[in-house]
Amino acid sequence: MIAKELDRAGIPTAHICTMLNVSKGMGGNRLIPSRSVLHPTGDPELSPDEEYSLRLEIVRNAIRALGADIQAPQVFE
Amino acid sequence: MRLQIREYPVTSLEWADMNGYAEGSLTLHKEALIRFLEEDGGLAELMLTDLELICPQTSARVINIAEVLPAHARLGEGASDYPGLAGPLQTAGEGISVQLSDFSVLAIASLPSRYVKVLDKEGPGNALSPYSGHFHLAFRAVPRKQDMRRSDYFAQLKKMGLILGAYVARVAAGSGAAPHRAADYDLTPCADKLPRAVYVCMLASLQNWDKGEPILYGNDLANMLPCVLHPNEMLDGAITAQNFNLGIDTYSFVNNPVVKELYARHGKDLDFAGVVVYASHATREQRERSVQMTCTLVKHVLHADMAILTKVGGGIPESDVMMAVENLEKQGVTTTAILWSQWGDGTIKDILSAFSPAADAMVSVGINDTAICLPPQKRVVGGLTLDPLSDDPEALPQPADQEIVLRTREYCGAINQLGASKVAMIER
Amino acid sequence: MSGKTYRVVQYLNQFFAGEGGEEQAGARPHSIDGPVGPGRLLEESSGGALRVAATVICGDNRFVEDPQAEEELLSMIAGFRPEAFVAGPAFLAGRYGEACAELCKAVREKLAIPVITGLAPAHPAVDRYRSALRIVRTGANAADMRKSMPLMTAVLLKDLWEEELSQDEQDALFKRGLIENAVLSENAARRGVAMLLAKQRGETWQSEIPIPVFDYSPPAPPVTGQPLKVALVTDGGLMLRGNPEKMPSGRCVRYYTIDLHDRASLDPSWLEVNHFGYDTRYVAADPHRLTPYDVVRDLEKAGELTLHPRLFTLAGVATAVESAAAIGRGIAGELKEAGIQAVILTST
Repeated sequence: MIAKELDRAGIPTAHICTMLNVSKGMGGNRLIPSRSVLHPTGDPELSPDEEYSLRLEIVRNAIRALGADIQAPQVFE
Repeated sequence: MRLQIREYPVTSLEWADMNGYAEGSLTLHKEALIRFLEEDGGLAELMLTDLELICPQTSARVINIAEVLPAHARLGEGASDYPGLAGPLQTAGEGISVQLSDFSVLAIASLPSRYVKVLDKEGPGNALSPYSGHFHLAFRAVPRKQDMRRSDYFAQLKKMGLILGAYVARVAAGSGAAPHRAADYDLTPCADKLPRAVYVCMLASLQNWDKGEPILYGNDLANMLPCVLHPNEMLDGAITAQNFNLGIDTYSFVNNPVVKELYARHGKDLDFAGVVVYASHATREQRERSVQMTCTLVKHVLHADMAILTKVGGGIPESDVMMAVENLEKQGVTTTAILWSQWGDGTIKDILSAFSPAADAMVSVGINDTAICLPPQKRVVGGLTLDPLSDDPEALPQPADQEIVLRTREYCGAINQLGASKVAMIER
Repeated sequence: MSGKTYRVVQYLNQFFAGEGGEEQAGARPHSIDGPVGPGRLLEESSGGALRVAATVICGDNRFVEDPQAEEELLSMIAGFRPEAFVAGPAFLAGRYGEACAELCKAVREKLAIPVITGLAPAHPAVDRYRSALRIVRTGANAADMRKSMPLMTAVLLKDLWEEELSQDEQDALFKRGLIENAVLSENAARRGVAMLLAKQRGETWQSEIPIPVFDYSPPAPPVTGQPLKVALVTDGGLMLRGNPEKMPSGRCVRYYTIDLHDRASLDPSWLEVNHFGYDTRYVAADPHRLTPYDVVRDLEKAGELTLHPRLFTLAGVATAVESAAAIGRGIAGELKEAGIQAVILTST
């Protein structure tokens, strides 16, 4: 819902979440799978360095999504 | 697998000099009960502070209810109650068990929790809950050690309630009285070709969960993959409710209303093929794996024509149910899902947090968070003040014997995600 | 019920008033004493309880295009001192239906008298007005007049008599879309199995929870180039330690911000998490697990991004759809002003 309003205002939004079908249903367009509901951009099982790399990968993915010319909701794996 | 449950109704309940049961009148001997708990180890880690009897249609309010538990015991030679949790591990669901009807044990928490419930025995709350007509044995206990882990405390409290319930059930079974009813449960093959029905039962929401919580034969379901259960296992104590109690309790797993309804129609309208149980996980991969495997069990292992789904917890479990419904409908399995809804802005547009166009047959267990107002009650069990249960940081404790305002799901039994209550959302 | 006859004003468009078709759609608001066309059926079906004092008429285009038309009609209606107001029925007619629904709403607000109109289910005004008004469900066109007009009469009379609607009358109205809890005669499990069997057998069934329909907004155009101006938004309940702004742990109706000036990282010394929808301990231990501030800040140092110095946050659990939309619009407004090009939103 928040993503949809941002998109409507012309601000592309990369939505990092696990509930991709929910986000899509609520109007999310650029969807990035997150690690977990409990820690979307991290993972307590990993070492701090590995966690940082995971996060960097997710952010790179988000930047790629923001630059993608899409016409319909899309998941960026 | 054949299970007979012998039902003994309770129509009156009193303390007395000895335990006894005759024609619905149950008497309990308080000291004997306490002695039993001490000897049976139920009190090794907890200290009992309150033990109360509560009757319907009396001006009484019970607060801080952490669990509602059945008085259920397995009678066979060497049979253990709640195997894996209260007794040694063995298969539940076979043999003869005994249960009191119109009776439940209420476990009252002494540690603060946002998932505790309130139950009134008189007044407008009565219409909302299947427990209104129940007689109760309510108990409260505190940890013996200050540093006991919360999750251990709630597990021990649950275990103690189950042991108490089993003890009371044995009082009735040992009285020599004939049971009011003996219900036989087995999945006899159907003579006619009837549509095969599977119950898809979510057991826990791991979004809010503690390691070591007993849920399935004492297991905490960490990394759980879906599996098939015989419905009798559920009716005989294989499953206990998780602490993250949003409209579930162990009483309604043992008396699972969906299982009972499918049994009632087995061989008449449908062919009850089994129960698939799974958990709602936290990561996307786990969730997708879990839903996918669940649907394969339903469709290709149990060969279901139709499936009925229930959930526990909140939004992510709702999303998992929607994924499962979509998957099953795509494979040609007819589905119905039993779901709660949320108040949102009070209109029909804002009632679910996840949805799928495939979910065209949903049954409501009510709006979980609309406010209800309950009038004063004379007697209060379980504390003097009701601490705020809502997420409002400004909410204040309410004196427990006065008029109180709650969300519907905080009223014990009113919102039951397994479908035991008659409360439903309607549109006008 | 009483033997009283009530004064009614009815609204019709040019067509139902018998004045002409599309060529008369510009007709100005005017009135005729007594009933016209459908008004006669209205009087007849009321068995003498309703008398149409006047019929007010306006062309379809005039009503939607002339901002004065509604005001003129309202003062005209008020001038007849009606005790009730009837508009249409308009069936599936687009502009006419809009006018009927809008006038009913305005008349009820201004004159505080019972009002009624009738529309076909597919009429777009139904969804917008059904929570505010009683609207009778009609067929798609005037062929349904003989059925829908008496229903409108019956509902209006009950309103005037302050009597409860019968089940049939309730069923003839569009549901208002408002929800409440009720206690039904069977538990949900029994109803669920019954619904499952009905669906399996191909019988009719009605879902107790309808799937909501949302409007959809197409993707905003992509943004590229360096440095990209981004903002971080999260609905995972991150907040300043001590919750100085008193953010609730869910059901938020507004957003909150965290000032990131001079902050090298997000950590529990100055942040905590307040959200009742998930187990927050992992995020509380390291808030970067909720929003990737450390990575974004490093990319900023590398010249790839510029980050908005305020982090937008709320506890998104059980937040009403309307609130979420308003929150989204609010954030969008603030970001537009700050020249932010894109958002990285994280949800739990």
